[in-house]
Parts: sequence; C-alpha cells; structure tokens
Amino acid sequence: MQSVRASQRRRVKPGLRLASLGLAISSVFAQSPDAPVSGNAQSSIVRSTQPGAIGVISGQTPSQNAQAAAAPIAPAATAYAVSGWWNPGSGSEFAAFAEFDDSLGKVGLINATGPIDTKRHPFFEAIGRNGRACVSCHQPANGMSVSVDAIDERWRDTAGKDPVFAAVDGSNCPSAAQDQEASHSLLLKHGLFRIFLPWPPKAADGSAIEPEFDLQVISDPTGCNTDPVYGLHSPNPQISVFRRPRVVANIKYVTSGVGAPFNIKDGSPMERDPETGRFVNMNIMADAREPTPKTQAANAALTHLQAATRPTDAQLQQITDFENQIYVAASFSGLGGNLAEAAGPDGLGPAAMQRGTPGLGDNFYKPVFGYFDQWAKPQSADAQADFRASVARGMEVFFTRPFYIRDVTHLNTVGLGNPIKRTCATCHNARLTGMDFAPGWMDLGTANRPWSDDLPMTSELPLFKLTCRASKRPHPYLGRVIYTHDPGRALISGRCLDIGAIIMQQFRGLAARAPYFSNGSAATLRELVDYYNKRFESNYTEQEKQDLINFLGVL
Amino acid sequence: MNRGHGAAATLLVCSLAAAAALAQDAGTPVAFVACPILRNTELPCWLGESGGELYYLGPQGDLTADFYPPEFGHKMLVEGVVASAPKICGGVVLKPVRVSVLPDQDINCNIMLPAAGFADPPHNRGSGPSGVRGAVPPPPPPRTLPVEFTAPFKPQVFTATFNADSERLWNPAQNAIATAARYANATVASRIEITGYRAAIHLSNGQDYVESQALAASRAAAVEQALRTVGVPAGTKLSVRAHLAAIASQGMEASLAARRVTILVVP
Repeated sequence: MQSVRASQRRRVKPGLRLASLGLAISSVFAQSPDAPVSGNAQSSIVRSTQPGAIGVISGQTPSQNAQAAAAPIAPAATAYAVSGWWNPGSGSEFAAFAEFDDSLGKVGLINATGPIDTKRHPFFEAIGRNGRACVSCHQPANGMSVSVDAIDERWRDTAGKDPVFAAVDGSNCPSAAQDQEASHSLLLKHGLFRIFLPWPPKAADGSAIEPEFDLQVISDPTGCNTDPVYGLHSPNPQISVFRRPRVVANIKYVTSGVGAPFNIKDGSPMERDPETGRFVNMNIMADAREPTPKTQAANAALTHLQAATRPTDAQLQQITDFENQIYVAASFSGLGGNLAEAAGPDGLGPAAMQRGTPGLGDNFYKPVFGYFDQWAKPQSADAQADFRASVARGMEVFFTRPFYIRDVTHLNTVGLGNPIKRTCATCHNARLTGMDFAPGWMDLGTANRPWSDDLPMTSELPLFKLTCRASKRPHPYLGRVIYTHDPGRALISGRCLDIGAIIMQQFRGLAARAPYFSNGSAATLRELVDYYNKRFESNYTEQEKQDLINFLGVL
Repeated sequence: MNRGHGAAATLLVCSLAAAAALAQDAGTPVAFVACPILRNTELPCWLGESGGELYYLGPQGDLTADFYPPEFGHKMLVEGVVASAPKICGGVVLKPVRVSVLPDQDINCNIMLPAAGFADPPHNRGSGPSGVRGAVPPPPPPRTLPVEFTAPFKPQVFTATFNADSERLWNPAQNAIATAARYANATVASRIEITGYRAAIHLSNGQDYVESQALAASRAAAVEQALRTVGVPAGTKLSVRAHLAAIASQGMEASLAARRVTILVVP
C-alpha cells in the first residue's frame, strides 16, 4: 500500500475539482487509506444475498404460498366438458401427436415418448386445493399456453366457475367479488394472471434483498397493490403484476446454454441448479425467478394451485419429464397449407422442434428459423404460393433488415453500443424459438413509460413509480425515476438496471395463444409488429409488415 | 427521454472541420471525457471529439470484438493512443483504445452524424447476422485449458480490472475471479483478502477524472459476491477492504491497473 500512497501524493492534488463532472477529491487524504467492508466473513458457495433457490424451494416461494393460503377457494368445481379445453383430472390419453385449430390454421403437438395416460399424472391432476392443474393454464389446444379467446369461452361455458378463474390469481384480486365478470377483467380481456411477489425481494435463503429503489403505487386499477390483505402494506407485503402464461413446450431450447458462471450481459453471477450445483441459463419465466423447471413447478403448485405442501420429488420429476417431451409449433396454415411437408422449410412444424438442436442462430450458417428458399418464389401463380413467398420475405425482414435498436437495457448495455444498427434476430437469436440465447430479460418498453404509453391497454394495469436511490446507479436510459406497469426482473434482483426488463417468449404456435407480450398488450400479430415499428422507428413498409406477420404466423 | 437524433450534428461538423488541421503525432496518448458520436454509415462507426479533434474509436461490432462501443445517453471516458493510420469516418484513429461508459445519464449525448460520403469502417461483421451464407462455419476457437496449480503453494495475488467508474465484471475481471477461485480450491485456502481501489485518471486537458468514492468498496463487494458464487472452500475466511484514496494514474495501462480489485489467496 505504501507505493500506492506515494503515487497518489505525486499526482493527486487535494481540493481539485472537476467541475464539469461534478466530482470532488478534496477529502481523500482525510480518510484511512484502507477501510474494512466486511471482515472475516465465513465463505460459502451458498449466496444468501442473491435470488435463487436452496434445496427445492426458491426464496420467494414461502411468502407467496402464505398469500395463496390466505386467498379464498371456491367450492369444488364441476368438470365442464368443453371441446378443446382440457379439464384437470379428465384422465384422457395425451396422444403422441395432436393438432388443434387456431386462428390461422392448426397448431401441432408432438409427445416425444408416445401416448401417455394422464390419470394420476401430476401435470394433469388437481394437486393443489383450488381444482386447478398445470394443464389449466397450459392447454394443449393453445400450444401449451392459454389464449384469451379460450379463457373467454371458458367463462361463458362455466359461468365463471372453472378453477382457472380461481380468486388467488385468476381474478384481479382475491378480495374482489369473484362472481362478477369485472373482477376477472384482466384475465378475460387480456389473458393475464396475477403474479404476486414479496416486496422487498427474497434471497435464496428467504432473507430480504435490499432493493436499489423505492417503490410507490401511483395507480392501482385492480386494487390489489393497496389491498389490506394482499397488498404492499399488508402483513405479508406483496406486489401484484399481471402476466401471460408461458408456453410449456420446446423446453430443451428454453433451458439450453447452461454452465457459464457469469451473465454475459451484465457480468453478474448466475444462479445455480440447487440439485446439481450447475449454473443455469436464467431464461425461464418472465423474470428468471426460478432457476429450473423443477423449482418452477414446485412454486407453481404452491401459488397458482394453492397446494398446501410442495409436490413430492416423484411428482416434480414426472411434471418436468412431461414438459421435456412436448414439442409445439404451427403445423398447418390456412393460407400456406401443410407446414410440415418434407420439401418445405426445415424449421417449420413441431417435428422440426423435436429434431432440432439448440444454439445461437444469429448467423448465416444456422439461421434462427432456417432458410425459406423453397418458398421464396411462387412456383405457380396461386394464392398459396403467393402467401408462401410473403412468408419467405418476412423471414428475410426478420433476419436481415437492419434498424437502430436503442435504449434497450440488457441489449444496448452489454457492450454492443447504444444505438446498434441490427435486425430482429439480434435479440431473437436462439435457434428455432426466437428467444435470446443468453439470459433474455430486456427492457423493450412494453412495461416502462414512455414507450408503454403506445399500448393503450396498459392503463388497465397498475402503475408504479420507482425511484433509484442516490447511492445506486440509475436506470441507464430512464434515469432515477421510472414509471412502470411491471418492474420485471427488478422485482427479483432489486436492481435499477433491471426495471421493466422481462424475458422474451418463444415464437412457436403464436396463432394458438394470443395476445402477445408479457402483459398481453398486443392483441394481434399486427399490433405486435406495429409496436416494434414505432418503438425502433423501423419504418417498415406495409408489405414488410404483412410479410413479417405472415412469417410469424407460420412458426 | 430524447427520441430525436443528431440535433447538434451540424454545429459539431463545422467546428470539427475548422480543427481538422490539428493532426497529432502517432503514439500520442489521449484521454478525454465527451459525448459519443455515431456516424450513420451503413455499418456505423463511433467517434469522439476532444480539443477540437475528432477521433475514430471503432466500428459497431459484437461481443467477440476487442472494441466495445459507447452509449448514447451517457458520456464516455476515452483512453487511447493516436495510431499511424489514415483517418477513418473522418476521425483520427486511436489504437489501442478503451471506452468506458460513464454512469450518469446525459440526454445531450445523442449525436448522430450523417454518413456524408464516408466509407464504412473496417469491420468483421456488418449490421446483419454473422458469417457468410453458404460458407462453412469457422471452427470454434481453441479452448484454453486453465493453468494447473501444483504444490508447493504460496500466497498469490490475482487482479481484476474495471472500466472507469464501474464495478461491472467484464471478461478480464471474470477470468481473474475464476482463476482465483480455482487457486483457492486447489490450495484449500485458509483466507482470501479482497481489496478494492479507485482511480484518479489524468486527462489530456490537464484535469483528473476521479472515480466516485464508493467505488472501491462496491468493486470489492462485487468481487466478493462473484467469488462466493463461483465457489471457494467452505472453511476459507474472506475479508473485504476498500482503499479509499483515489490512485493517481496516467496512460491507458496505468489507469486500468489503478481501477482494480486485488484478490490475495493465502493457502
């Protein structure tokens, strides 16, 4: 240390001010040269100050389960048999291959290990207390998510009695009058379930993480954030945000890219699989709050299904085994015909998902969704050939048409520069899913103002004011005060950098599961493309927009 | 949120043109704080202005490049050496060059210049996907095997370096931490001493850029957390200290060395 201080005496002038930067070094000599930050801390590979899981339960799960236990449960619901809707406990066979009609054609599912009997299968049985099963929100007919059309139909068919409308998260707030349609408006209109998370966030060991920002509720249309039982000032403080269920299929892609100890995007340490100790890819759910599908399943049972106890290890294994064997993609297009024909593009259809390998696809060697050369030029002047040519052009727009991507945290902040002139495939770079191959949370603006103002439905969502503390880094592009409808990953990490950052979703079977974005703010693929066009000033022509929509619709 | 582009471009171009004759000698070290400037060539190039001179920093690239560009919305600290090379994108070439994105938001840093007939900068990758269609993908880079640690063991220092005014762990710091953790595990270390530092970086205009006072501690804390994550022996004691005084530094390498955390692993 002596040589350091000697160097300092030579060059640093006490009292010098660099006015333009607002920095001062006037007091450096008045302090002890070395100061302990923490001393003699016993080391451990268990990170008590970070999110994640120890054992089979994540840090936030117990407090979430406590709220789920407090939420009312309706009397046992009757199993209403409705075409296309999979009732928990129906005991039906899950076929090796199934197709279901959707808004643009058909969605196909491959069950890679062959038909299974779902009787007593924990994915399909109501293993909690509210009559729901995993399948309630991950419907085969909806590409293993659930569409707002199916939810609306289910409400009408069951007079709102289906357990999918459970008070705990299938309503705007458990304290709302559950027999009223208005109390389920976000689910019925936008396919949104309530996600309730402890505030402040919990570390893996259940201790509190001190957030870098203060959080204030500005508007609360659902009333749940200010609710005395379920809100932020309740005895078990929880924040409520509203999100779409994710696709439970193609999981080998979603969980690929494991093993790196550091997040390539921000240098932060990665979470570990609590069972194996291996670093995970932190790319599941909207916020990576669960490290593995197994801890996710345990958390889901204790929250969405209001289970009193964690599922058994055998049940969790059965659930994740099932999830790992399901492949989903559009299989038939009303305008484009059979999407799985042998001579067609090799990235289409559910079989492509089964045979494909995960990896980075933002390259010409193995493009994200493969090449569409077979469809590039109409072989004949018919409507199907024209449509297919449009799809091929859409792939080119997606893959090669550059525009400036700007002010997106976890993209422009990762060392690529802000702005960067690139393409859709820069972010949607993972083979065959269009997710991000790296930990995929980014702030696209769908949750944060000012960009979310371009999505009218966000006025129905809660609005929070987040103020980054003076001692912490501000949000890189929004500064110290951020207005957001969903703080996203920041609800888990507590970091300003993560405010509004949400993990992107896979692109397969889109027509079976509208609406889009995590908050359901794009009702159609057209609205989705229009948002991007405005957000990034892409200046797409009408033809380019339609080509993109047609391309997305056949994935 | 400033959604406009290039508001200050015209004025800046005029001032730069007037100063164009101020060419500097190759080998001259340069360090300055400024807003980044992006020239909107087909493949964008990044520039910075200091003392009436426009400097070329590097092209838009990807994370395999050795140049990581700056960010609109933030000032940058540029540290480099004037290269003996023709101007690129209208700027005097700095090579080597290191850019640190400074943390405070500055909405005035939003300067995009038109291409103005300039050619694209030299680059390995364009604005689209990587590679060449139809070509065979290059083999993955050879895997560097980690150094084997063998007895006899003695105390060893590993050094993690940082960008200016940042505690973010970029690759060099990650590698240092991973190596320190491996050494700690190989030696079943009795203790690890982590010490964070901050720098006072001498700039070309004679002033110093002094990193924030809390940075020494936050760097050390970031390294401690990362070490625990990567994994050290359960019995190893960790102590974390911050050297509060800023270390005066001049020149790229000295400044980088001053922005460091040392990890002393004691077997």
